[in-house]
Amino acid sequence: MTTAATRYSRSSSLALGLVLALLMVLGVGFAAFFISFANEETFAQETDAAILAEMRAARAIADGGKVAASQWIKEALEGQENSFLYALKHHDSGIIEGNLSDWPEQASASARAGLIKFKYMSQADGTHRDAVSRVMTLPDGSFLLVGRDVTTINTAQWFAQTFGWAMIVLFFGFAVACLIVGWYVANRMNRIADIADLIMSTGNLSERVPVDSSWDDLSKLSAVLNRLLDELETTIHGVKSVSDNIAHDLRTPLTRLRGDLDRLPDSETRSELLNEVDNILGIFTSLLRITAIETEKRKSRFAPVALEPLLADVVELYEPLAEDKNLQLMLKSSGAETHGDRDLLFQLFSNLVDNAIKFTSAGEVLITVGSEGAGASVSVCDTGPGIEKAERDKVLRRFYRVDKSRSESGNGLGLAMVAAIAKLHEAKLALSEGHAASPTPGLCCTVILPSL
Amino acid sequence: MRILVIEDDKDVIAYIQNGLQERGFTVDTAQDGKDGLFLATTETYDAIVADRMLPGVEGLTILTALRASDIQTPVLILSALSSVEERIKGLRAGADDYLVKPFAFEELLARLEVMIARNRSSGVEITKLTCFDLEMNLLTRQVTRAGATIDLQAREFKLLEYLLRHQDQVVTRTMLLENVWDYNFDPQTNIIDVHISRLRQKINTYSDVGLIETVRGAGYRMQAPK
Repeated sequence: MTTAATRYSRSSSLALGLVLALLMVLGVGFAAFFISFANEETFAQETDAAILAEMRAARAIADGGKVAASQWIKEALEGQENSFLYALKHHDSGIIEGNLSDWPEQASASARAGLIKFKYMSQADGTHRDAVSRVMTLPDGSFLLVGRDVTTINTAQWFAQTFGWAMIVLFFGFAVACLIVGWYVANRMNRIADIADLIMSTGNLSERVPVDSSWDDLSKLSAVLNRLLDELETTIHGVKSVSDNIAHDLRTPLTRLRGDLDRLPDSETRSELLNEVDNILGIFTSLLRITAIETEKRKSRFAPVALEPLLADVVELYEPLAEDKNLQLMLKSSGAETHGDRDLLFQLFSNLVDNAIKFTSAGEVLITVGSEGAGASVSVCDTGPGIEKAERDKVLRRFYRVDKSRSESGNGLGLAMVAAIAKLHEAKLALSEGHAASPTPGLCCTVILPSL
Repeated sequence: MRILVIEDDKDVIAYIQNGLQERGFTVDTAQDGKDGLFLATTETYDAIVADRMLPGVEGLTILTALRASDIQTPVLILSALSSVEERIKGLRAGADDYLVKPFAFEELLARLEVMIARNRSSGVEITKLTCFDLEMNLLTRQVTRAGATIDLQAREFKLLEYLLRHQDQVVTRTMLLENVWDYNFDPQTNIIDVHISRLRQKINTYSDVGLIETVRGAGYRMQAPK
């Protein structure tokens, strides 16, 4: 689960998508604020202020009763391109004066305290319109109504609110779209990365990245990657066949040489020469084996391997050699199993033990087998001269020999073989100082193998 | 003894033929699969050495055909196809041994002789192996020399047993690794030599007569003194 989370959290496309989505959400916030702002209350305020101002003017003439009010209304209506509505009525009669045909009904709703909403029929074009008004009671009992048409304002308000909601929906839509795009791209990239990882870890160069379509950039990238893999596959096969050919071509004349030497009469010289030729042939065989192990990553011959009996066999094989040099060869094991090739693993540990015995003049060689976390750990430690830190990486190379070791027998391929086998088994190989209390630093080679 | 060599490489044929003839074998050769199969089925041989990649009929096909016709002549496959998978393929097809090219003639010879001898032995279970005054009882796991018991560790016993069973034959280091140690690998040093020298010391505890001879450039041979 966590791996899935990190795969997506490291994606720049998804991060970008998230950022844009957040911006969209901010937009939603603004739109929501806008909507709340553009409500009835805001619009009503302005209209009310105008009505109240007009009412204040009317108050001045209110004492004159309905006659004065009537006159005032007439003057007001004459003088302006007016949006005010006026109506004057006696408490029990119809409208005496004004530009309103009907008095608002008793049960009209109120927009705010004292301000009533109602519908009226326009005298100009006969359409039904909206208005708000205040009603003032004159001292003589008549009612004076001052109002304003709010049809346009209402429409504007409706538009504003609708616009606000539309924006909210739009922004949300964008936010989701951003996230989807981000996730989609991240997902595609992950798929491509997965296949690339698979190819690298299995060494199976015949795999290809899927190309989903021909128009989008990621598919174009995939197509390019595939062409790269084609080239790589061809090159690797070429290299492999070249090196195999070289080894084969050199081995044949060498074998013929050996055959010719073999036909010579038996003598000390013949033996020595045969040994030399066998040595060279051995080097070629080892070289080819190392390359084969490195390039062939199929693990079809892997099976469960019990490490304790395997190392016990190694110890038994090298025991006489250790005894001849007066070295202690010991195995400490708490048992462990791994998945691998029995013969190759035997080769690996045999090389390590062989080296340990070869380079240690006094003391011991200790082999420890146990579990290390989720894997199995085997270490071969000696009390020899050890290897300096700077050289520890280099000794794993083909033919590399530390100066101190040049006098000993060997061709410098032992550790290269160990490294190749370790890599095939996805094992970690580490060289460090030996831990026995001895005058010389000693060397510890630790191999950590994946467990079953 | 008659040997059939089926191989398309003229140099390799010459190499094998000369070597074997020098040692007293009669050698018939075939340079393509069809001729090889014909000879193998119409003539009698003590052993057949066959390459895998042949023009006409492939080595393994010849082998399968022979075994299908119940021809049990021991066959040694000689091939440049060296991977363990190929080796297993060859052995499964009915080969008695599988030797990888390029090879040392001595190795080929040793394996041929072992193969032929194995084929010749009767089906009777042997309970005792002897060489000169050395006796090994396979039932009691006791080893004696001139009557005196020699104490051997398990692996030393196995090594001695293999040498005794292949008395008078050359046994190469590779053969010993495969059969006595049951692992297929390339030792960096001649560790086998050390084990042999140990064994020699032990079996010579009560006698000065050496029974294990070092065959230079090839391997070892257990042999009663002439």
